[in-house]
Amino acid sequence: MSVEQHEVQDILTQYDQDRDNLIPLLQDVQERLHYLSPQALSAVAEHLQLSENDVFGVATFYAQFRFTPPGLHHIKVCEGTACHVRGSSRILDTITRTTGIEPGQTSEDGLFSLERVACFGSCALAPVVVVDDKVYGRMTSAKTQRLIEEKK
Amino acid sequence: MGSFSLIIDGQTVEVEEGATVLQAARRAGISIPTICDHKDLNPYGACRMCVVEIEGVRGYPTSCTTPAAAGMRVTTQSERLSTLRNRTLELMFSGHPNSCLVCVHREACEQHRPTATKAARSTRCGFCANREECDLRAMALSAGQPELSLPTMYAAYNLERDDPFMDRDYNLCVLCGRCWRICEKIHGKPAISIINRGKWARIGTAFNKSHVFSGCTFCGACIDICPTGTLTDRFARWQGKPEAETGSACILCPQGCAVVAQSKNQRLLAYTMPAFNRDASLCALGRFGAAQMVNSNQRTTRPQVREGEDLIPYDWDAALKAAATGLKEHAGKIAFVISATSSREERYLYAQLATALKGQMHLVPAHALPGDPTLTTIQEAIHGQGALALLMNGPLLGGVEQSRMAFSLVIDALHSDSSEQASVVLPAAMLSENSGTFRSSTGEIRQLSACSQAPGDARAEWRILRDLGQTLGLDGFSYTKVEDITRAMDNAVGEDAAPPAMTGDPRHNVRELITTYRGHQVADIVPALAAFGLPQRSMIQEESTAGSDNGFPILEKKEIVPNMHFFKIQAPQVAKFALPGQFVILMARETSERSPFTLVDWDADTGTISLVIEEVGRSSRELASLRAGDMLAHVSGPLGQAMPVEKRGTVLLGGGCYGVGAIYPLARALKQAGNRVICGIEASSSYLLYMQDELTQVSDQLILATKDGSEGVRGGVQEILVQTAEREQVDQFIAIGCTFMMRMTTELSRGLNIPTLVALNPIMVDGTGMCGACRVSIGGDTLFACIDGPLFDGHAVDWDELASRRSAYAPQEIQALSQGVDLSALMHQAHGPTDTHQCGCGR
Amino acid sequence: MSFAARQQEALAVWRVFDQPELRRILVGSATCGRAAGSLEVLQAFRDELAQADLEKSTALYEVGCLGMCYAEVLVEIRAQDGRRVLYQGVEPRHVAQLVEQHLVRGEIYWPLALAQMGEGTEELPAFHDLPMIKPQERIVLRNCGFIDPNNIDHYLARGGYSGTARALTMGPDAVIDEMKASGLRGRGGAGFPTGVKWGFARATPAAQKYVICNADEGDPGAFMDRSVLEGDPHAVLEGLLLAGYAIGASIGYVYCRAEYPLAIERLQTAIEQMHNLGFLGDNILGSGFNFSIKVKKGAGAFVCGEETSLMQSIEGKRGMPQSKPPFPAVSGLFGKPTNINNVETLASVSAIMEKGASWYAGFGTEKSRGTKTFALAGKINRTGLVEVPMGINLRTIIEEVGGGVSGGKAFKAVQTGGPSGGCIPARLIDLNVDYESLAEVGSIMGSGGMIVIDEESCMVDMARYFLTFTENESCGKCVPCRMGTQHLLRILTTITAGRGTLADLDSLRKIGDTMKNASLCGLGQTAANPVLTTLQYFEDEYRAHIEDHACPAGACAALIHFTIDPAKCTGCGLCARACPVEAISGEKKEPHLIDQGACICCGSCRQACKFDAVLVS
Repeated sequence: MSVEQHEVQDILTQYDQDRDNLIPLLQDVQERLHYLSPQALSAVAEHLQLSENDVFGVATFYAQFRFTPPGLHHIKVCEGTACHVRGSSRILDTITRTTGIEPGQTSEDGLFSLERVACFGSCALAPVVVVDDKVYGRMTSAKTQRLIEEKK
Repeated sequence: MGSFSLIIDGQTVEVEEGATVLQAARRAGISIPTICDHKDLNPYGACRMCVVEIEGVRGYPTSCTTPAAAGMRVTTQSERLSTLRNRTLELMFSGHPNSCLVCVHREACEQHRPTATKAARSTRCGFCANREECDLRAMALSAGQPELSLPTMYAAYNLERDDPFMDRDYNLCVLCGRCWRICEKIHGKPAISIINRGKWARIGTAFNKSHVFSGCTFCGACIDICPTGTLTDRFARWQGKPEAETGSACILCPQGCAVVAQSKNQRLLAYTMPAFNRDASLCALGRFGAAQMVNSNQRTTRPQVREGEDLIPYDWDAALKAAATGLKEHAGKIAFVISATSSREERYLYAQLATALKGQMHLVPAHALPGDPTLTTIQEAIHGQGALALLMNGPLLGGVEQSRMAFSLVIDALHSDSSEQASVVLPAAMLSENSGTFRSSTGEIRQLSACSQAPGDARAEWRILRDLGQTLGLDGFSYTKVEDITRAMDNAVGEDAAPPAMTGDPRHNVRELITTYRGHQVADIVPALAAFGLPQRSMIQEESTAGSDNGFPILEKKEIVPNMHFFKIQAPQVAKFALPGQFVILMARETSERSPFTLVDWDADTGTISLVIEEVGRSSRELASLRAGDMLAHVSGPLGQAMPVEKRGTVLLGGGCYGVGAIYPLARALKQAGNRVICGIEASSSYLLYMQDELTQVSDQLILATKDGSEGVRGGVQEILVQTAEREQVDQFIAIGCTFMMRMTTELSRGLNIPTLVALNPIMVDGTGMCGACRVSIGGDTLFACIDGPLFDGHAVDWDELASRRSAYAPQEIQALSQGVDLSALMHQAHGPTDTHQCGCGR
Repeated sequence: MSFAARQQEALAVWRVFDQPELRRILVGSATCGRAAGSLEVLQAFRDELAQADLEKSTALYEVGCLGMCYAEVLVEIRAQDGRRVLYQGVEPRHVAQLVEQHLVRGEIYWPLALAQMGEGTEELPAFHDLPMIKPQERIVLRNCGFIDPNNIDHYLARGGYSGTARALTMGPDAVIDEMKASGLRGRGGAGFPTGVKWGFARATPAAQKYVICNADEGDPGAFMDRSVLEGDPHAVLEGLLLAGYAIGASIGYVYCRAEYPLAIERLQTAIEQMHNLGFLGDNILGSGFNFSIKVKKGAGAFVCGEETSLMQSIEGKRGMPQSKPPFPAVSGLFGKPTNINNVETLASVSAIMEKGASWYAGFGTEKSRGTKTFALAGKINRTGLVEVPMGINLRTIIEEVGGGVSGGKAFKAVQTGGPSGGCIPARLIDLNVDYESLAEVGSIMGSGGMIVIDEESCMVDMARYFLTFTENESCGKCVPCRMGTQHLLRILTTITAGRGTLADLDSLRKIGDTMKNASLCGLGQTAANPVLTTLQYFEDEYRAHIEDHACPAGACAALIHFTIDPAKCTGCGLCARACPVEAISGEKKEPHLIDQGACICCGSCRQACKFDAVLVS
């Protein structure tokens, strides 16, 4: 068994076989592996005695789950109303321009991945960008550009 | 459970507790439109067509999900409801190609093309295999001429054809969810699921795995329950709606599953499940294999008798006589080796014959493979008996065994090495061609009903045995129908034994499919079965020139709009001599058929030619599957007569389908010659229009027409012609496209007195005037499209003859499509295609 | 230990926290505070206190959100004189000064001083007299920012769980009657009377029932629930406990967005504390009532805010809504009778049980009792979280509480109810905010997002924004929503690109009507609201895009271009620095120029310019 498979098995043993554990299981697996690999998904399906297709259907329903490994720095751009009104699309454009990736993609050097998020609930600090789980409020194009350059 | 009553449209209806409003309405004979509801599925509430008004309930609940309640007052018809339903239908259709439904030419078109035309992607009803059975289409047409004004949002999903038996075109899917719901109901762990959400929601498998690896058992329930043409049985796909559904049983294995045989023109299309539940499910072999076996080109169709080295076709009487003589000669020394996949009547008659001829009966289990202990036992018994003659109903014993015999009679439906070696071969009917009864391994007796015609001279096995008995002069072989045998057998034998059960359960595990049928390896007859690892005598090796160094390199290839593939090919000799109006003949591989395509562009300097190829049947599909960098086996040309380029004044060029590309070089030449050039192009919908920019550059005016009115003129080249002629003098009209369009526009231009040229597209083989396949009647003269055409005076064409000649090989063309599965790609691919074609349409 | 004794212990803890002679620093550290840098400030205080050798004599706490997000990071400092001063906009660089001047010397550090807790003075107003705070009535937010959310004793000391103690002696039916009497209506959006809803679930006989707290706050622009969960988790959990008791459920779920990790952490801590003190588990407070609570993390699907989808999600399925009937009260989670309330409703429930139905009914209007929290955001000066009595005038919220539109721009509209809501135009600013009044003008209360829109926002673009959201979040199950959102977005995109036709307006209305009446769930039924209300109030703006190919607000990139007014430009260079594509050039102190070829019309320069020198046309 690979390291990854061991890690997934560790997680599986913490849950019994009820279907309502599916989403928490997927969340734990993703937290560990940073994405859901076909093997991991398959192991989850087997543990819960569900069809892999069914599990994949559930996983693809929720925006949280990724099926390809994310970049070293995972950038999330809030697209909430307040952020929109305060120019989040400009921020997104800036990130796309400086990293060369569109939302949902990982840069070729594996340094950055980009994701659009509905709302972080930090509307009062709009527009908001989250890089590696750190929240940056009141962003501008210029600040975003500096932030990304720092991470390069 | 109690019952209660409610009032629907003023009518009092009594229903059982638990019934929905929709069920109650149906009980009362009131029909409410719905797509996602199905009697064998739980309510889902997705299509929103079955909305009703219920007194005291806010809004418009769906009748399929609302439980009926005592005293409820329901209205199913009102102006508001029909507005809502029509608009919902319009929204649903905006995600499903629909141009035929709103096309002004629909009736005329369907008159000329009574069956749907085969195509890769179904971009309209006329290109959809499911046209006659489509619930959506029926619903739209029942509403009269539907108002569908929203543009079609064509999803451009890849066609999924990497599967042994099914074609999937999710561009037709309306997400009613019937397929995955029935899959879940029957199999518990569904082989498909809804993937993604919202506008990206689609039906699929985990990580796009091939269905061969997704847990699919190929029971075909999803196909049978799909209300659209999304899911199709590749074999039955273009055969049209079944004419008859006959209850019968499948005897390919001892399970003897009950089936409903779908047939048309005395031809088996498919065995389907008699009900949508787990117990009624079928295995891949029964659901898909049976029809392909029955319709196989390996069928034995004539009685044959050995004369020296050769097997010579005989008539039945003579062949029976030869068989009887051979048997009589070795009476007492005959081994009867009979497959367990025979009907009770057949087995009874074999036993009667064996008794009369003092032979030994040996029953070979359905699942016996070479080397099976049962077979060894039989062989030993045959040796012990000192048999000199052998009667088999299939290649059940090895060739060595047979060659030892002085005489061997093979009664079989399919060709084999055994029949090659036999003294006499009698062609038998099989499966759906037979009637009788079958005892399953669980002991139940199943009724077999014939619903299809055996090919050639093949006859029902019981008839062959009866006639053989009569020819032998034996008593008790005077049956006139199979029921007589059943009765006689029941009286004589009483309870016959059930065949031994098989080990696996192929209905729920595709890896446990039975591999042989009467000694034949089923994968030899249905090659697609090799995808499940079934043994084959020889792996099918597709010769491929792709990647080889010989041939004509493809420099550029993309699907510009659905079904239309743009090719740029290195072919210097063609490029050097090409003239407008000429064509080339292509072969994708050395084994491909030759197909003609009009030249769209060429460049003598770079030695390249460009083509637009419409993917229709097998040959164009082979071409379409090539990619940039691959080689074409052959490019011959330029062929045909060039268009006379002269100054005529104003020339209108009308293009449809592949003709949009084909008019391009003509327009360019005519424009250079000083004509005023107007190009008019048509497509079903705006997303199917192409080459607008290129045509704009070579014409004075470009007019667009779409059948659904989504862009430009509503209609087709017909409307463009009439409207242009109203505006200005047209001195010449040239039409290239489907026969229907050329024919219709030619009739109009005749009335308008406009000289007209059309590019005819008859079936063509060599392209040099030798074979004569492409002959057409022009003004009473027989001409060859390849050397006299392709352009002819449209007003002189005999269109009816052209149409009938074009459809002459329709059944063969359809059959060829189902054999086009690329198995080598499939079998070594645990996951979905990794390098998908990336092109303009998302294929 | 009896509940009363337990309360006494908590009061003791609270008194230590609250004793005036103890030096104390409270740092607002909810998510918004953290985004503004509260953790850095906290660390700076820690370091500074250590350095000044004050760490033993000074209590340093992380607290929840006071709601004044615009003023983050907020720090309350109490020196030995017992005076509590609230400082705004605190950054780590201020910390040394604050400690030195206020904590050590007892002097107010004036540059950052915002208010005084308790009574005010002439120089420094009282917190409750601040214009943002004065019109507010804090019931749901009663503890937020004042207690340590990780300390159950703080909650207990301020009256927490006394409502539970009371309820357990009253019996479930009396609790439901109390809810009915309070007039509380569901704060999740639809406004269904809570007591009545509980009554339905109670009336369905079943061995197992469930209660669910819907904390899947998905409306972009709304963060009320997050603030309450982060600042006062027990208020919500107690509400859930009470709901469970009332309907006869033994298991409760909190379904919380995964995007709120801090809220989830606080909830888990709080649940553990409840267990330890016997507020969860078997035989709660000796009443024979058993109850446990599980936290389920959402996984990023807006539609899971819809109750049937939410239950599907808890069951481990795709969050696709189910048709009603059957209603959850009859057949809900795992097919059992289930009651779902949102965070704010449950936080109100615990307050009502503590202080009584008639106290609560004293707030608000005849039909809309109590208070409502709103997340004020957008182009407004004082963004933040506010709680006002129902029926309050919209103008009061925007002008007094929110301090008016930011940047001196003209107020154009306010968007309430998120993607399901509508835009209320400036001329209706005197509208009373209650369920009925909002519905009358085509919007909804929703969960409480309130986005202020100024003259620089284009209403067509706003509608397009919301449709981008709903198209993305539609589950795809039913036809009207799946296809309708796509078409609405397609048409709106066409219009904002200047390629629309007048017939498109008709299509928008038709599709909107179909979605409203034929969609399966609330998401689809309300998804067209932003389009329909902007069409209703701002049709002129739509027509300008179509007929004049112009965007009056100067927001639609395809229809505008930017220039710099040389007369106004001071050559400060702010615009050039803000430009993401380096399209602006110019010498220092000389008027700058925009290279029209390079300009992507993003408007960054216009936003950056302090002299209104960037013109849009």
